[in-house]
Amino acid sequence: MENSLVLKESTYKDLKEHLYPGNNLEFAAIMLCHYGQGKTSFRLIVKEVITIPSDKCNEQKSNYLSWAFAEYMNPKKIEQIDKEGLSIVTIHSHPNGYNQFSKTDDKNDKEMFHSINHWFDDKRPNGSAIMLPNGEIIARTFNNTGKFNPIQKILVIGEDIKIWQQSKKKNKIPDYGLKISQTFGKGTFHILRGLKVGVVGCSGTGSIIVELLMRNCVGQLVLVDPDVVEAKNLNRIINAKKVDVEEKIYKVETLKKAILETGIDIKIDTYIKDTKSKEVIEALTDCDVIFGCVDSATGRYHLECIATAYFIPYFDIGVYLEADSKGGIIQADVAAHYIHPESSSLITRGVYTSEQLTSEGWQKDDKDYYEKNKMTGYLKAVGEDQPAVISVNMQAACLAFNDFLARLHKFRLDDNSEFTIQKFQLVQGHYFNEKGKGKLSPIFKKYLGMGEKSFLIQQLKQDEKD
Amino acid sequence: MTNLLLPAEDIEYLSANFSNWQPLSENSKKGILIPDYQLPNGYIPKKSELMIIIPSDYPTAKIDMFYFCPDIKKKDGTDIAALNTETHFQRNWQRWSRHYDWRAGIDNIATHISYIYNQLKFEIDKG
Repeated sequence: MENSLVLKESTYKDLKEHLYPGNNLEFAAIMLCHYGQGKTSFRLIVKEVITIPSDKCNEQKSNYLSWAFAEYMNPKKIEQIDKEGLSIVTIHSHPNGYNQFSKTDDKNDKEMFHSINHWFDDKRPNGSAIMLPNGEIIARTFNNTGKFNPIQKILVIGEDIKIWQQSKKKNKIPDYGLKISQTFGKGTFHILRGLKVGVVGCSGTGSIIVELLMRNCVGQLVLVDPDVVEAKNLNRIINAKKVDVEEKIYKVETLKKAILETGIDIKIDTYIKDTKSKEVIEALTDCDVIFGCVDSATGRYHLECIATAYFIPYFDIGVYLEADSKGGIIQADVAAHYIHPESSSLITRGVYTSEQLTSEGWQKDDKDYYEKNKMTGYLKAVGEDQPAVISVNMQAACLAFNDFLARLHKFRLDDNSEFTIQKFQLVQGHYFNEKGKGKLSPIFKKYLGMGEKSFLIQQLKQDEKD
Repeated sequence: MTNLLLPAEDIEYLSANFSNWQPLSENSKKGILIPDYQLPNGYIPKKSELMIIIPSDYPTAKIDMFYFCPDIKKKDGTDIAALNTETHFQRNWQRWSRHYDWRAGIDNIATHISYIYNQLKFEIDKG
């Protein structure tokens, strides 16, 4: 179980400022968290932080803190927390740098969480955390028998992606990882090894992303794609073979087989489905990062629903190739978009529209209704099969992948916020990067960080039952 | 086949304003029905059944048009623009072809029903 605790960047910044005001005293706060149910783990998504000011502390030293927990967790507040389904995670600072929970922490937490767990009828996880002077967070949950389990991953999601992993399986770096480690150092190498990354869409751009993730020694992959390899795909799907076409092998299976043959140590789960599936959403909830390699408005929208509800950083890859069918190329643009909980949305950036989403939905749900309303102009025509060239796809995939590395490793001279949107226009020979214009769409704001409580997630999970 | 799942705010709005509203479902098509919808003055009959089709991925995907059964007409006998007959949920409906720019995250069943009311009023007011 690799459970995680996730904060958005602004929450983390406020929390750090409160816990470390610069006076060498311990400070405390309470994090209220929404819950995300993965397939093999859960994630606690920090909704709000209640800070405990000094005048509410009974005693405050550099290695000791006592504060009136009951004053903040009065019956009315508990009832509200219960109703909203929130988990309680306390956090305090260790200004002297002690990098684990102290014996006093253990004793106090045991007593406190024994009662906290009894406030709720469900088995929601509650726990405690410490923040070290360097900003690192270490956290754990308590079960009803008073035992605690470390939360394996702490993530801060914003323009940069911060990850602290408790289960540091820092084995010797394998030979095939030496060059990565030489480039990014052991720290980033181990972060990559510890990552679980979801790739949705395993075709023209997705198969390249999978190759890049695998060669960069990412530890676990979740591959999602509903389709089999077709002859027309052989021009661009990495590792696709004629035999895959003949035997109607699913794209995810072709990629999995090829990865395993490399001998690189990697764990792969495959899903022969699209995004409107409880199973796929649970598998993606386990992921630390998602790459969206889809070409539909529906796919992008579903991934935005998942990314914003669970606070999962989302890299979107787009290719816009337009030919005049006489051998002329009108447009060859590639775009890499980055989405985090406080960024603008693909829908507000105009990457897809509500009209496209509606049309695609009807095309899938009710062909007659779609055709009739398309004819009369009430529904927008859904884009048909687009032209595709592997080198253009590679350009798109590499833009997004290097952006992912930059947000993990911070190697750029400029702030990562300058690269929310990157475009390469091959016809004009332009590269440009820009800040994400616009706002978070109100639809995602409404359900931001709500995990299982998000209506959008409930809707996606429900729709599979047929 | 799945049931219609609506955001909490829609259910609250519908229950507060149309206590006998019903969800509709036929294969992948979903909708809501408001029996006894009270029409503004100027229509015959005074009440009809109002139906709205709800697309998948609503409320980000948009609601379009609205439907009545039985048909409604203006008391003064003048024509209503852009009407059609369509079959949905195994009934024939009078389709009002009315369209506007959907604002994802803002527009919902409540705003659509207020739009419907305004369109119905507009038809009467224009004479």
